[in-house]
Amino acid sequence: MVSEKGEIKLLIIGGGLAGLSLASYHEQSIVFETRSRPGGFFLYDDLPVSRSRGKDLVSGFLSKAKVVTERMVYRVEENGVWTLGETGTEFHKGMPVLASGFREKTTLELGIYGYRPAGVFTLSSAWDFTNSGFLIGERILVYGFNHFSLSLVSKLSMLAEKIIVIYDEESFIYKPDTLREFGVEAVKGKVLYIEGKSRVEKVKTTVGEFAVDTLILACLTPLNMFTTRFATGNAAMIIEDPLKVVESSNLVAHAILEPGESGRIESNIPVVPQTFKLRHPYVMLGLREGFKAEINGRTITVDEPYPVVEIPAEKVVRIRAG
Amino acid sequence: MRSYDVVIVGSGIIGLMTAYKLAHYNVSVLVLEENPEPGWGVSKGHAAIIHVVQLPFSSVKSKMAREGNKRMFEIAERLGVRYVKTSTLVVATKLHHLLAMPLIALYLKINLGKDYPVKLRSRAYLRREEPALTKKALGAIEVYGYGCIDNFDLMYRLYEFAKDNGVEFKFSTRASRVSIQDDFVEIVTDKGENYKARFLVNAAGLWADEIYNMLGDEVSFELGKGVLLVFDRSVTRRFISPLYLKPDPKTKGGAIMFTVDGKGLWGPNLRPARDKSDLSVDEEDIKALMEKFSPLLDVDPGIPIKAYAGIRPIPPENDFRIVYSTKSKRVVHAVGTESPAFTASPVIAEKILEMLKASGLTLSEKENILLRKPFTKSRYAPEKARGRVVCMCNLVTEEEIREAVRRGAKTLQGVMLRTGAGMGLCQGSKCIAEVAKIVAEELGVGVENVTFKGENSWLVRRAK
Repeated sequence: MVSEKGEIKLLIIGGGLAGLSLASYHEQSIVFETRSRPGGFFLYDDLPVSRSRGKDLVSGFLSKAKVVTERMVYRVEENGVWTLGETGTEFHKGMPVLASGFREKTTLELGIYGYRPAGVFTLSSAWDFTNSGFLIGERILVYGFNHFSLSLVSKLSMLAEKIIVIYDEESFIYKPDTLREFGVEAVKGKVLYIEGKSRVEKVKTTVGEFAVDTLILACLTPLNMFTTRFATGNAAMIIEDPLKVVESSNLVAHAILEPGESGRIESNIPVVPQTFKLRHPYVMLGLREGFKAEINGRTITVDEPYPVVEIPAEKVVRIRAG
Repeated sequence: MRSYDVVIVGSGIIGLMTAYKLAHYNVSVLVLEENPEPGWGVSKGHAAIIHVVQLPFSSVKSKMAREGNKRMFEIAERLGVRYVKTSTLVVATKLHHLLAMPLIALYLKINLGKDYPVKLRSRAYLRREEPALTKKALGAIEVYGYGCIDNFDLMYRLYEFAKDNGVEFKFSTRASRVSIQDDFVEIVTDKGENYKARFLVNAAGLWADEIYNMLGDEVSFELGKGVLLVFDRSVTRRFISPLYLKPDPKTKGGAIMFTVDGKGLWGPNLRPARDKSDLSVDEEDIKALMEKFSPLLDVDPGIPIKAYAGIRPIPPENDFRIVYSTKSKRVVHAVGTESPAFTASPVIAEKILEMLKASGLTLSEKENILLRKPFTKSRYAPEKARGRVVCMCNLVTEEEIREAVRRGAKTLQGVMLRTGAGMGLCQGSKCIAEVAKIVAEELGVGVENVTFKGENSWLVRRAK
């Protein structure tokens, strides 16, 4: 791979906040976005995190990035990508970087059984319907507590009759009390079983049954449709804070574009990027405030969610949850 | 009262195959279907596998499946439906199974003949050919002639063909009363319509017992539920099944299989269903499949995307009952058409036509047959495709979604089954709202009027 900064062409798969911001760090980038409008989830996100709104960040980066919309990357190779669009297929030479965001864990991954009626939505499809002016249900159970589900809840709370959030894992950036501020019932537990043949009628959980007509799956994990050397944003690890998404792209840009030798991360917690340049030994850890991490034997305590930490400029850096 | 030469009750694979065959002749045919679209009953729950071995070999179903196997590939070829041919490795992991293998292989060879080669495979062969297979595999019997097929494309193609060539379909319509008159059969539907049929074909699948019993014969089904588990990828190139010395005749024991688009498919299991609408998937189903098939692999099978259940209508003799009504030869029943009825369906349909002919139906061939262009899917040949991709996981374009509606899909589920949209790893996360919008546009209704799978399965309301 060419190490001169100007000669690498980045082929960024996904035009959400992570992809757009990554493109802004390097002029020689093309962002491929399947949808007609770039911006991804954050395009419609007006719930601020540390006073920053996802949608404002998106519009800031939109003007700086070269984006090809309605063109999808369907195959990734070492030295380029194949895309498909209205005019057919094209091969683009360059370095593929995954910025395809998150997906929702499947019912089977979550251990949810039962029937498959209408009214079971993933967070993203519920988001899309809501932002196009549709109401996805009257009585809604949301499974998963994070910035993304909270942002959806903030839009739904005015429209739906009842919303309950059930969560197994806590948000990295919000306390459960935040949900109550939105007038939403919040319980800790797991969803177990879906009842209903035409439309959802009842959802069984570890903390009882809920008579709802809608279940939203909002337990998230990176969407990795392809294997690439570099991934950024939510395609690399779940990052609830839009500013941190941008920061992850900054780190990935350094890891790709800085000249010199690379180091590699071995870790049992999410880390972005997975390889770094010895000249720029910084990574983001998928940890919340107050947690500990051990980096090559040295223990640190994390003082903010998704901390960016300096790591030893060594060939292999081992990171463990503390 | 409208009258037809033939009324077929049910548009599962048997009803559709019969309609497809009859569409080649100058006869008037009506198909009545309770669901809003074809193929949503028993046919929705199967594995889309073209079978070879069905025990016991002497059964009607076993013979019909072996004959149907070849016909199925021919029909798929004619209609431009994608299929993949493969073999099945019946794997021995225990020493006494390995010792029994040659005898079992000989038994299979004798019964399958030269159409379906049977070979003994060594441990080295398995290591080389199927690296994902457990190192505990000592050997295997390889049976050729298997396949998987794009079953919903097949069913919708059969439907299209029948419709284009004059067969009438009435969906969301149940045949609630059927009676044999002097020289016709009378059918009353739940919508209050009356039809007169010179001949009646009962292909009602799970509900075939009701019509059978209504007309004076007697059958009661055991309802056997089977669950299939779908993974985001397939880790094997062949179907893999564990070797049993005493196979359960009601199921072939299930296998590690794959779909035409390369997803892993495990199952099915077999256990009693609570009732005919019990399509639930329970924890014990998934556990049973994992316990049975995980030990056959040494690699991670991938991400489980979803599981679905089907119900087998099993008659007491555990075999197909393709018979005339004892009250009248104007009625042909296809009862007990569970696995491998999908594979056998071309032969079952031929038998039904023969029986109708023997009862006096004149079958003169039509001069002109209409054969529409196949339904092209970008994901099968992306390099030749063009269009705006809507479903990223399965590479479905906007045009494919529109075409599915133009060709008769009326619901979101119908479009998903036909095109594969929303059926990939992200479970429609990124595309379902867009798919619903396109379907609504094509149907000429608001998105709030698009249902998931018909009445009461509303999707969204218009926000106030």
